Amino acid sequence: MNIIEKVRDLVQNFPDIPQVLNTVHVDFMDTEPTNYGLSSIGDELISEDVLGGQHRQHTFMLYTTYSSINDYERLHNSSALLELGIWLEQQIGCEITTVVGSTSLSGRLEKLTVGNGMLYAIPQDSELSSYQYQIQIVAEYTLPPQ
Amino acid sequence: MPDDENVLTDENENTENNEEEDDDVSTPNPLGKLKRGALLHYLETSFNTTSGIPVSPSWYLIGKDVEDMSVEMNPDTTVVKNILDETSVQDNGYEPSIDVDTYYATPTDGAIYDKLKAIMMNRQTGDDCKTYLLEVIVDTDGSSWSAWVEEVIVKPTSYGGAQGGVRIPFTISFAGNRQTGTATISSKVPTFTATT
Repeated sequence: MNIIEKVRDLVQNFPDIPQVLNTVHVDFMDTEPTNYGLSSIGDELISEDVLGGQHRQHTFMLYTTYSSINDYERLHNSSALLELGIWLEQQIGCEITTVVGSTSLSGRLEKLTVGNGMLYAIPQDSELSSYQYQIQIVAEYTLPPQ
Repeated sequence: MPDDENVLTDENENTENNEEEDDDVSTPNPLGKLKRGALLHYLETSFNTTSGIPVSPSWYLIGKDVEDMSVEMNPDTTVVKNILDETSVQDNGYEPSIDVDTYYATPTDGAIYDKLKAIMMNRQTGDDCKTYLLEVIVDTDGSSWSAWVEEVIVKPTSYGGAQGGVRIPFTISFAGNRQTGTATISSKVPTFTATT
């Protein structure tokens, strides 16, 4: 799995996301609750060791649509994002496979940091029944020398 | 890193000129500006220098997680000015060393991890810290490159470090008996041949 597939897989395995009902979409999100959409923002080189091994960073935005009828639900939504963030930060050490040209390189997920979990939008047509939230995920991973 | 299957061929040459073709094939071409990965340093992990380089040495390639590493030459010169205002420089040679500022304790690295652990935890000194360093510079597109082997003393400078992993930065001090030769690298394993 490359870094995008791996992070999507990790989010999908968050215990509060039912495996069948709530597939984590990629670059897509339904306005009906409950929904998850993962968008890749970019990948950049952080550092390179003397052998050519790379330390890279990939940034994601995870958008969610939650039912938000009353304060109880909205508090639950924010708490869910908090728990997701803490849980994700513990999911490190797994293997990342990146294909560069015809070469498959196996690296390691070194660090996940999560932030900016907040209310993103209130859709006009939701009639206050569903809010959209966002949370930023930054994944740091290694690539071995080619 | 060198390519293990680095074969020079020129399919467009006229086959009638076989001898000339063979000469072209056997002469490696110099490379342009070298990437940092072209200068390779290996430590011999048995740390046994009593009877020369082991017949089957085990070389560990230094550099993973290390962003900046140099052989500090530390030249030792003395400038003397006599009473006639004449200046002379006495060259006392070099005291080279390498600071490996990042080595993450990784038990799966095998012998190099075991040895660094033994040196730092058992406060080993002297010959217990002595091994060989192999330097290879991949500066041609051939399959054999200039190489040097020298005895070195390996000393961890600290252990522990910040969040993220147990770090064992160490210093390599060159200890003489330098040998010149060539090295080939196959499946990431170098083979050193001393020049007689």
